[in-house]
Amino acid sequence: MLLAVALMLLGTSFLCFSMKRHLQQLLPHWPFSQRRARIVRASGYACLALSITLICANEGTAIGLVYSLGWFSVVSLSIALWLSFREKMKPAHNKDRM
Amino acid sequence: MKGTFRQSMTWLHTWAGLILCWVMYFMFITGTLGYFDTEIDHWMKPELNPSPTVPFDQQLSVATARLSAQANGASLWRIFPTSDRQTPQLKIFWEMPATTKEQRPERHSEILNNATGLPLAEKPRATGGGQALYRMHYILHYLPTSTAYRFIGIVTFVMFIGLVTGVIVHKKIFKDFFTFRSHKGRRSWLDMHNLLSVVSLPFQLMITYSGLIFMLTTWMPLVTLGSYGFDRDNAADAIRESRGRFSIDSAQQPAPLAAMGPIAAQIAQHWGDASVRYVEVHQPNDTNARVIAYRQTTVSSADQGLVFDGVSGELLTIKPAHHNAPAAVARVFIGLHEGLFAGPLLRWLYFLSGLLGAGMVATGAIYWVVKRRSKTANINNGRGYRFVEVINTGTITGLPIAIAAYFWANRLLPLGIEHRGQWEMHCLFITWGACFLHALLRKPQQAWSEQCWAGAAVFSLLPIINALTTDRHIINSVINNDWVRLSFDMTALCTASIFAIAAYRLKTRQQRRLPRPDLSSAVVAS
Repeated sequence: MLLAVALMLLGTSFLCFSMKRHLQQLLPHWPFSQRRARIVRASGYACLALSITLICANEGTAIGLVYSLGWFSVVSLSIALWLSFREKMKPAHNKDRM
Repeated sequence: MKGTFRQSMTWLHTWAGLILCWVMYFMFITGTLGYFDTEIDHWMKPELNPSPTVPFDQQLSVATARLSAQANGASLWRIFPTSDRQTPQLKIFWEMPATTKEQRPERHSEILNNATGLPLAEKPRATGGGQALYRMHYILHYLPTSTAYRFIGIVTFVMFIGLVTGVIVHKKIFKDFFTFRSHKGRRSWLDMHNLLSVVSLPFQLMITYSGLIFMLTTWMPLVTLGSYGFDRDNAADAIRESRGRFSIDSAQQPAPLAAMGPIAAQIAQHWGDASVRYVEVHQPNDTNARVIAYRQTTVSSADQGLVFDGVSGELLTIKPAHHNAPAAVARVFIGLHEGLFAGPLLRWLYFLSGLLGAGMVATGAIYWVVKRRSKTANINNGRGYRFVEVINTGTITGLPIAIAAYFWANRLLPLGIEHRGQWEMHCLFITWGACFLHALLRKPQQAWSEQCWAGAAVFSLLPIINALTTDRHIINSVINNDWVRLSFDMTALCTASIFAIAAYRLKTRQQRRLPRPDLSSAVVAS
């Protein structure tokens, strides 16, 4: 279960990285390219699929799907809140550097 | 209806959502607590010890012995073993047959010690427990059940409309998936509303749609009427049959009941250690006797059954969980709604999803006010706006405070008073009323901040009051491995700290006079 949740976190982060706005937020020096975004997005979905398969193999398909959706809510909410928290902390970092 | 399709949907989403959002919030909070109804019961009955682990066959034997002594002549026995989460104590139930047609069968139940089969020595206090809290999410309180059902049906339907229109009006549902911009005033509230709704959308759609399925026969009674006419008994029989329930007549010929040991062994052989929900004995001590064991196999709320001959103890058939496709679909949705199949981890995920739903409703309601705040300040015609604001504060922070008052009442009300369970509920509603009054009398910012401090105080004092009035305090729970009571106290402390954080940040925000959505975290966690 822990592995599956980690995979889901990885997959969801990939999906997040495949979006232009979030990529620029997180890695401002990386140039955004459509091609790379597609690859990252595809790997994100692959990780999610693998994670759901793992959970379903462990818990049975029916209960596994319920688990997957529950974890997905928690994981994606955490990423969104973390992004927002990071944005908030950013000016402080810059000040430190200056 | 105005403008483009999306504009009309926005209008519908806003106004349909606003009128009933407080009832939805109430349903979300009480319903979410319902995922831990048995656990809350356990905390609210401090006299009861956790049942020891006793093998299923022994529980079955002692329960049957007790039933043979107490329930001679009964047409039905039901035994709920402690292996199932929903029955922390061994429970027996029996039904005496009605002598005339007009009479209803007499029903009795007892709670037993699961090792000895004798009635439990400890008498729990009279309390509504977690059950009363959980039942409020569909029958409300102080209202006749049928009226409440109809009203809740309407609210659920409006909620469903809110969800569907919400998806339509959300312009960038994928692009803004991870977006939450804090410090942006009303934009932040909208972001939070979108974020909470979108990440938990599958849960919200499921819980609302399955809620509608619960209300099916209330709002569409003509379906049964059309098939079975006005003969209610006939309809009830047909529904029972469609669900695969048994109704077995007595042969009026006495025969000794089969021994339970071999039957328990056969159940274990078929189902392994999987938990049995309950065992029924139809027409015990009769040649027609049947013993049926039930278990929930998967998410569907329908039970699979093993049917045994009650005289020879021989396995007759395996009763499938579903008999027809529409019933199967309905039972799967109902099963998903109830979440009875969920183990502790999944149960917490359900609980969190429910809180996200409450947060979704609350942030929506707050956004409505925040969006209109500047406008109403200018035209000085803010009566409706003020009304929404007062109800928002009174509901969003007031309801959790009122629920804490319910728990306080459980510990502080004298044990001997009549209708004690009812009085616990009265305490909840009196406190809630006081919260509305407080919100009405204070300025909005002060009301929010003071209610958050009050929430922090009542929840943090809860474990202390528990320690002062009972011997079930945190340290004792740790020593006795009583994880349920420990989790309850810890959850109360977590809720208190979230209220305190919200209150503190409201204070700093007032000092800086910058609009910022800090309450959302309190809403999510309360």
